[in-house]
Amino acid sequence: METAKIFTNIQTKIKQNYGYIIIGILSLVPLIFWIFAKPINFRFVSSYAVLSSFGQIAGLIGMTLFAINFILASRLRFLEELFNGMLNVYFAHRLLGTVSFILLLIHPLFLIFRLVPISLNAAALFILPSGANWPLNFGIFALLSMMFFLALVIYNKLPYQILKLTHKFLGFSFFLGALHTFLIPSDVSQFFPLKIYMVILVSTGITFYTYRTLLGKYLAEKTEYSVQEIFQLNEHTLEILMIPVERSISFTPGQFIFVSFQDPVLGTESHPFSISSGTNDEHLKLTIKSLGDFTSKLESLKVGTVVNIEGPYGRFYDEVSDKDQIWIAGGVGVTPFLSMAKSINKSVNKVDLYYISKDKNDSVCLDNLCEISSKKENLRVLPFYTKIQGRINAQVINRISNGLENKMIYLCGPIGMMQSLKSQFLKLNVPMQNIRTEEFAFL
Amino acid sequence: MKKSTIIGLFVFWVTVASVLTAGLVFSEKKASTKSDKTVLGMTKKENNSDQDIKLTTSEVAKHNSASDCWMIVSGKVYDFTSYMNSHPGGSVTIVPYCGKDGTSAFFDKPHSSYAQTLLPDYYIGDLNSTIPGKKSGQATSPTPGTKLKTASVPFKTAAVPVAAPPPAQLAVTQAPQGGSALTAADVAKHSSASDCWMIVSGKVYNVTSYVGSHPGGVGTISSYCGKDGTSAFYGLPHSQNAANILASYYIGNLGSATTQSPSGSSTVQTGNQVPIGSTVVPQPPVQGGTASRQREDDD
Repeated sequence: METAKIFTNIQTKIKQNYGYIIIGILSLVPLIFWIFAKPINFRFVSSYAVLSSFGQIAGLIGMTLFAINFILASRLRFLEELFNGMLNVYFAHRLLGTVSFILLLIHPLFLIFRLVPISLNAAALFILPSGANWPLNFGIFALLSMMFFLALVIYNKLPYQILKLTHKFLGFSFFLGALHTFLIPSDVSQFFPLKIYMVILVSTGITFYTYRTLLGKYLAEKTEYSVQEIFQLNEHTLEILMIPVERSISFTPGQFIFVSFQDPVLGTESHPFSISSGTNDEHLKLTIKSLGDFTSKLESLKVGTVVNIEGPYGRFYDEVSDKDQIWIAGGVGVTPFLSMAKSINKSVNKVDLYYISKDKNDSVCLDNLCEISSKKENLRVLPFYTKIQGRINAQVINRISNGLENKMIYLCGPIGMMQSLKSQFLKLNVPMQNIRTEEFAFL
Repeated sequence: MKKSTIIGLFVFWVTVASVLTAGLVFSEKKASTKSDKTVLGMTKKENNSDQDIKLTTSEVAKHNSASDCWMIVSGKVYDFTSYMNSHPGGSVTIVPYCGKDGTSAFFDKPHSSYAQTLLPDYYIGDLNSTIPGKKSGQATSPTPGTKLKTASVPFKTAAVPVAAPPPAQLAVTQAPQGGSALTAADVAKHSSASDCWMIVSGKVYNVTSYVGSHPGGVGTISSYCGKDGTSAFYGLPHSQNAANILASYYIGNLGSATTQSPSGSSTVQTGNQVPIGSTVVPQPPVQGGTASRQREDDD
């Protein structure tokens, strides 16, 4: 009985992490080729060889992950299957980007270190671009440009639009890096299987980059909507109603879409938003709180603006479960729950929706939710005001909902709140697979 | 994740900055002390180079370690130092014969005809012949690469097509002829990374401007500055492109008939061996198994 449980646990773990497993395999392959490219004892005969080897491995795997990251950025639907939701694809993209960047930073460091015992001067000259050695220069410029573009992301003070644009330039760094990889005399250029493997990976990366970043405007599957009505719910929150121009998208409750307003003032960059309308509504509704510079500019949006919609994506609420449910919404994290609430039917058991906001004025969707709740017997809306009641905790929820056993818990809100509540639930012995989280403020 | 990226960037720039300052700011001091040393080294080498070496069994016996390994096979002396790590049976099986006569070991153990074709690459001279003493036992043999068509003569039976050409068959694109005559002592004067001459297959190259670009790193190439890098060049994996690049740095031939003493004792008189400094017969570019066939035709 116990072992069967552990087995199914492992099975679901594997299922949810297919994407990471595949990435792991893809980045191990070049390592295996590398091992067979030369007799392995050659690799470690001296400290010079050892450092060269580590430098090479870091460079190889760094490039592999860099290439894979362009696939992750493509927003193609098969990624949702592999990573269990587009949001997880996004997290994987961020993680891979970081790991790849750090490996690519380590790559030259090892190669510099190997020269230090021989000649400091040689080590210093190795860092500097030289007139004759273009393969090396490509590598140096690839890394420098990568550092520059990523430093802008880390600095995080630039407008979202510019940030997104500079992020696209990483394709240029990748291209330089690829030139470096293939032109520098090393195992990649000399060992045929490794060369072929890297050629396939790099060209796949470039293909996806071209598909998504260069030609995404034309190639990505988009649906046109137009803005029909805009409501100002309070000073920070807008509700945007859109109707399809030709055909409508079909989505499940809790999903999000990428929205690009065809408005010169706002810019046509696409932004992710949760859908807050029900699946059967004639309107597609977004509820947007002004958190960043883009969302605060949205007030200038005009009725009639054409909207390009990409999606839907996400697997926040994808399974039909006969378990009782606890929904916890923090602030504007209520949006997926609005959609989910409208779509509840009688087959679903009891749902407790905790709607956490600062005060009455801040809980913009409460009226709307109460209205839905009055029509649905199995939905209970529980407003929670942090100014009066303080921070919510798992104990309180446990008490109000009469225990947590055998209940699904859905969390959407600020990341700090979600992390804190999640760890509290885990301490109360709620199994990991019974907790679902969706981060709404991701960039 | 942001934190680890920032830490990574910080470590990277601290390292790069410190290596750059240490390497560039203090390099001038170093360079001056280095040149002092090379002057000393050069005079030493000059003394050495005046003495010819007679390839007696006792001379061979001096080179009896893995890092300096001469061996007698069928009355010929070979310098296997650069081959040690490539030996399919492991260097361990060769080492016991360093400095000794390994003839019976070579023929008793299963050695392919390919192994026999490799032998000439490491040939120094016949036993009891005299060779110019421009070096003493470092990992450089004086004449590999000059074997060319005559190379297979010691083993006429050897020309069986093999899967891959031996590493020493890179064809250095024929360097322009008629360069000035240079001696080993001349070359030895240019023994630093910032002034680097090198002998490869009896030709002298000024590779100074290339040292910084060397794919294998500055350190690996600069340790042969002022010396004979033949075995290093052919012993390590170098592409045909590398050979072409090398040719572009050609400045002259080592020694020449006019500058060498006319006694003839300065060259290995085996009849087969191309003397150092004489014009090297252009070698056709080698492609796979055709190499050995080419030799057959030449025979």
